[in-house]
Amino acid sequence: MKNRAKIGLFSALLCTLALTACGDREEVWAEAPRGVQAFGLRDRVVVLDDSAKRVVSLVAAADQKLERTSVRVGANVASVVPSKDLEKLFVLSYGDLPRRSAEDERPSLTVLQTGAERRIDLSSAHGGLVADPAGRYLAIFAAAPGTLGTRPPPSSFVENPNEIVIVDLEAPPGKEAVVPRSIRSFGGKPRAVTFTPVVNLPGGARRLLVIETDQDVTLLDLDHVHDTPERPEITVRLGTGSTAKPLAPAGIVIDDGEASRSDDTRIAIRISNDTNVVMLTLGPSAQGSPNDFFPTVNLSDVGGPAQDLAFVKTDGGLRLAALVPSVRAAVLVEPSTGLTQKVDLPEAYSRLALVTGAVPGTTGTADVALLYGATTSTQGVSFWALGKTAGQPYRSLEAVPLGTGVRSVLDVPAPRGDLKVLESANGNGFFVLDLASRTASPLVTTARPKLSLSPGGERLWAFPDGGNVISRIDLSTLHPVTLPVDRQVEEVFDVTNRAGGSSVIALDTRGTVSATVLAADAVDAIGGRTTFGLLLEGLP
Amino acid sequence: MIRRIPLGLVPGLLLLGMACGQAGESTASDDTDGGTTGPAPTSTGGAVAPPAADAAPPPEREVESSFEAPVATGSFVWVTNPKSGRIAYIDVRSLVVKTVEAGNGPTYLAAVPGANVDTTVVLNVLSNDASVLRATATGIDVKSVKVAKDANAWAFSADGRYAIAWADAKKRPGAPKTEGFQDLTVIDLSGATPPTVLAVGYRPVLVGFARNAPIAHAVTQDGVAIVDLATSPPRLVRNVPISATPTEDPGTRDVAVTPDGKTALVRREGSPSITAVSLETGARVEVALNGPVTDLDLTESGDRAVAVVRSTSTVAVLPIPGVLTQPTQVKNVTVTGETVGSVVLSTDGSTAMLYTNASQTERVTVMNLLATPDPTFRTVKLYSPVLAAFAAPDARHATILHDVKTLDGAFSLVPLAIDLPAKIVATKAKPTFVAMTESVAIVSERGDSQKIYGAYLAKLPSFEVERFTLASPPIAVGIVPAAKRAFVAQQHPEGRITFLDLDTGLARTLTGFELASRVVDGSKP
Amino acid sequence: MKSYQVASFAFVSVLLASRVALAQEPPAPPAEAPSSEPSLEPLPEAPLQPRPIGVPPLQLRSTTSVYAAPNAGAESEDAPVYTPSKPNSYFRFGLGARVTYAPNAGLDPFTESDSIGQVSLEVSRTLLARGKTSLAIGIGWDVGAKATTARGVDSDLTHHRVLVPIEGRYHFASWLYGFGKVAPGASLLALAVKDASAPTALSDLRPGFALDASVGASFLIIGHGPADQKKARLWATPEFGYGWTTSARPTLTTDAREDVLGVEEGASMNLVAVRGGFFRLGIGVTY
Repeated sequence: MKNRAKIGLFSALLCTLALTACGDREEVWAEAPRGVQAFGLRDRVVVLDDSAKRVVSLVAAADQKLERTSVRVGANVASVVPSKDLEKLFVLSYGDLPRRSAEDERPSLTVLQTGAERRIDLSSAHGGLVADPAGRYLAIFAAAPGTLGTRPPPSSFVENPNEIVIVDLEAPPGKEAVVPRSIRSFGGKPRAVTFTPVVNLPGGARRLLVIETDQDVTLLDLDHVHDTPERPEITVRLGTGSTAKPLAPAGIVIDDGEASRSDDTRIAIRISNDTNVVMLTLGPSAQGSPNDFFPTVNLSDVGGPAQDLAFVKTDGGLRLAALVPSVRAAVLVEPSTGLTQKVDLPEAYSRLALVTGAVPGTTGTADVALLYGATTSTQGVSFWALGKTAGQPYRSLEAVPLGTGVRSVLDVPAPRGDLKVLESANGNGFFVLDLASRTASPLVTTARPKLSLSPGGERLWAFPDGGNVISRIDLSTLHPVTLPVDRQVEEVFDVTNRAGGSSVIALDTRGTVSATVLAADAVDAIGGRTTFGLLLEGLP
Repeated sequence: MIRRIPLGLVPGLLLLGMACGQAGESTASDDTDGGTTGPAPTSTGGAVAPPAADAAPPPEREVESSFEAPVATGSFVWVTNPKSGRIAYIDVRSLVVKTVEAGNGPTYLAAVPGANVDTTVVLNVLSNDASVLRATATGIDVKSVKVAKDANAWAFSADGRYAIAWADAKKRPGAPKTEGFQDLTVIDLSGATPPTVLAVGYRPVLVGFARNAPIAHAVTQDGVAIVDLATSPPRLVRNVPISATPTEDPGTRDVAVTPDGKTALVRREGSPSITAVSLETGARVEVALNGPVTDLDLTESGDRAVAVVRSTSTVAVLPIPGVLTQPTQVKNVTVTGETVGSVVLSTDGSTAMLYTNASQTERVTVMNLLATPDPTFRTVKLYSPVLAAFAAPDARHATILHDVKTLDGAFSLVPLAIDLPAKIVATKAKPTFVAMTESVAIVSERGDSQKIYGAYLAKLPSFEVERFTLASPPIAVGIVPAAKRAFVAQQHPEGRITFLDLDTGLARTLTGFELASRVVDGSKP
Repeated sequence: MKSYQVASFAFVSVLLASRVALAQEPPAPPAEAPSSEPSLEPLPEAPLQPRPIGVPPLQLRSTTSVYAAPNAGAESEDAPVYTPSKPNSYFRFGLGARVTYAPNAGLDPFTESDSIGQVSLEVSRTLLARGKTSLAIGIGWDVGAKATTARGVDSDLTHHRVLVPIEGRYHFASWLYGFGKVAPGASLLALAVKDASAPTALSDLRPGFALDASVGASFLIIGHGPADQKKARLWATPEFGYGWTTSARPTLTTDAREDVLGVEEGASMNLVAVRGGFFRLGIGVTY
């Protein structure tokens, strides 16, 4: 064969080889799923697939089949928060950082709910997201990665830590829906935000946003956030000024006071590095003030750093209860005068939960509180009847010995609000506490369990993290049923299925995620359906 | 007994006790321990045993006040913080707290009377100066003036033009004899003349101003020093001896000067006579009474003085200045059936309350000084021994503090204008401070051993009483009628004050003045 | 692969192939063909004899003078002896490498690029040969596999094509022929993913219908000689065309489905279809 023909064939061979390298697939396939996390809503489980810029919605059908739907969210998810009623999921995204081209995504917020999603573009990127319990607002701000479930940004960028973006979900799309505010700063950075309920203030009922930084507390009037000129926020700088030591807020509680008064709304602030509790009473402001309310400050020394606070009704009226485990006591503070009354406790409880509504027989004039501690050094819980504070506080405490401390308390939803699930601190099981009978039924596990409650309060699911069984406990009978699911389980969610019944979805979040769906009342796993490779589906 | 602080005057009358409970604990504790804090509770002064039948009765106990913070002006309550060098001022209506820088160690605070705007002055003990604070539309204007060292008290002219900073030796009980405390600083608050330091006699006990005349006086152990304010600078023009005996023990003397500054009246413990001295001419007249004079008080107008002779239960009314020329022109009224040793006059001088706290007497006598031809009186039955009495500015009511021997206490509300029974109110601890207006009275109580602290708000004339428990020991009470609020200052490292709404009876406590002053609402940059 | 790249490649391939086709040396004359040209040397002269009267003249076999080549006698003595066969009619055994460019999103989990390489095996037989044209039919098998990772887990695919090529040829010369081919057949796609959350690999088999249409040319490399001589010949064959398969939606399930507690639902993937241009370079042996 002549040379030219040989050259031609050789060239053809090269072309063939070159062709093998042509074409690229979508980038999503090249990297492993990043930041996979599952969230349980009322009727679905949503799995975050950050590297694919989406969430995968898992809905159980009547026959336990799993309906999967992908929903696009913004790039680089910063925070995911479900709404309190478990009807919506909010996904905050950093966007592409840094933006180098017009195609790069901006920061955004995606609101997911049954049958609809909404994307709201944001002008600046932040990582922290807090949802309003009433479902109307969202607060977006610069939370430190690791706090509030915030994920770190993909790259470093400049962030204004004192900018709070308030999203009003009930406002029409546009400027009114998203309001960025730079709050006054004296060197602090926001750490937590709290939406107050409607409180009665001198200028009318409204809601406030309480922003805690690492050294002050700011009050922002939500009902006037659109005002022009801008209504300034009120900043309470925690610190005497005579020393350099800033007082760090560590949580707040709010009381609206009497319905007939507009000057007795109170906010109590727990300080992590001081023995004082700060109480703000929101009363009328001075003439000419840009705000129609003003906080007066009251410090109360409770004898040690308070670990938990609550406004409680006692036979003597409203009090602020502060738990001070360092002195094994609770301190009741009279809001008007700052008068304190110390109540010695049998254990160094550090957590307080009001259970008045769940305890039968309480007439509403005085609260009942459940006291528990987060360490193994405490050996049970106590019921504190605040209707007996005058003169004989020691008789107002009823201890329920458990032999171990309580790590957390899960509220069983209505209609079983008279039950609490107490997770033991030693990891050997948990207790179902009956508030009415004040009994605590132990359930023993062989490994530290993860717990999940059904939305209707009928069932509790317990399973070892990474184990291959899940146990259903009927909260009426406390009868456990163990269901082997034959694969590793990391999350369990009890959801309402399409037919209106209940299903349980157990997730294995390794690899590309698998899910097993069972009927919530199943006696075995034979009728379950398993789907593997969920994150392989629905991609471009 | 001569009143140093008019306890029944309007408005915002205070019985000022210890220093405000700011971070300056030493100041507060010092004053708490050593100061005369209103009617001295028996817990600190020791129990007062009833006098034996044959023994001479003890002297009447003086109920005094001091000038320590807080003080109230028309719209603000002012509180010093000697540690931080700042003064907190609280808008009584809105309860907004702000602070302003004063000098070093601001301690002795006083409100300036008669000023157009809320004005206070404070002595900065560590920097030996004083700060003049005026509330203007744009904030607090602060001016600093030099004062003589050791000054710890204030006196003001009625129009608020002049202030005198002086050193009250009673606040320095351990001072050596060589400390004369003789320097006064005359301050022209208008700024027309610079402050002037003048030396007066040894250890002044009282400084005052003449009404309607540019004259100030200082009662010292060497006599009454007269200062001419009309000259520039002010100067000491003369010293008027008040005793013919230079070696007389001045500690047994009480001296009162009439508001016009022309007459001084001297009572000596155990002496049956009162010396009337003309401060203009130096002439002295001895007014003889029928027994040792146990108390002497001047009316606000200065037209008469009332002296009490306990041994004979006689009340002597001395016309002023008539007594200088006619020392026998004294109207004597014997309160038969009663033992009286102390007198409290109403602001208008029409009514005198007579009582004794040297014995366990459970009555007071109300005397109408204006009755003609002679003053009339009636006795009001009480149900506990009298410790002190305070009249309302309109003289229609009075508050009587009782001397109860147990840990608790009591006070009574007494109608003066109408012959009605008094109302006794039992307290849980010893009453400490009283403030009154025409319509309300506030009484604080303090029991350190039981940790009982409270305040009683009494409405006049209904005598409805409501108790408020306090979280900290009360150190002062006051009423600001314009804001319809009463307040109780309490001892607290961060400062604490409870405001009581006079209309609704609701209490509101501020604790942490420095903290509260750091609330920023955007109203000012 | 972008469309412009495909077009460029096609253009370059066609250009090169045509240049190969056109840039040819004059072929060596076939040695075995009898020459009709007069020989270079005259034959030895025979003495001329008078022809008797009445004898018709000699009938000559050809009107042309016949001259013998100098070595004619010798060549006719060395020429190979073969049984001539029908020219351009033979069996062909082909082996090649095929690259298909199939930009299909459904394949992304299993292949990093859009191209799939395969090995091709083909056997064909000429059915008809008329002059320069011929028609052949055969059977072929293309097989290729790829492995990569999909979202961090190992994945692979294997693609089989079993085709019946029907090829029409035009023999430009004995050493070159061009062809157009249509090859219907079957396709089988085997997909697998090794996911940590599954007890075994997740896999699926997707059969379908396949159809290729291509053009190309074959160049004789070894085995020159008469076209009707039945002998083994080695050819080089570049070919390009378009392959098409039906699409399918794989559902990945475990290999031990019956062992899964309960019922297993598969992971539903995107539609897969191996469709796109391809290029094949092969060698073939004809006989």
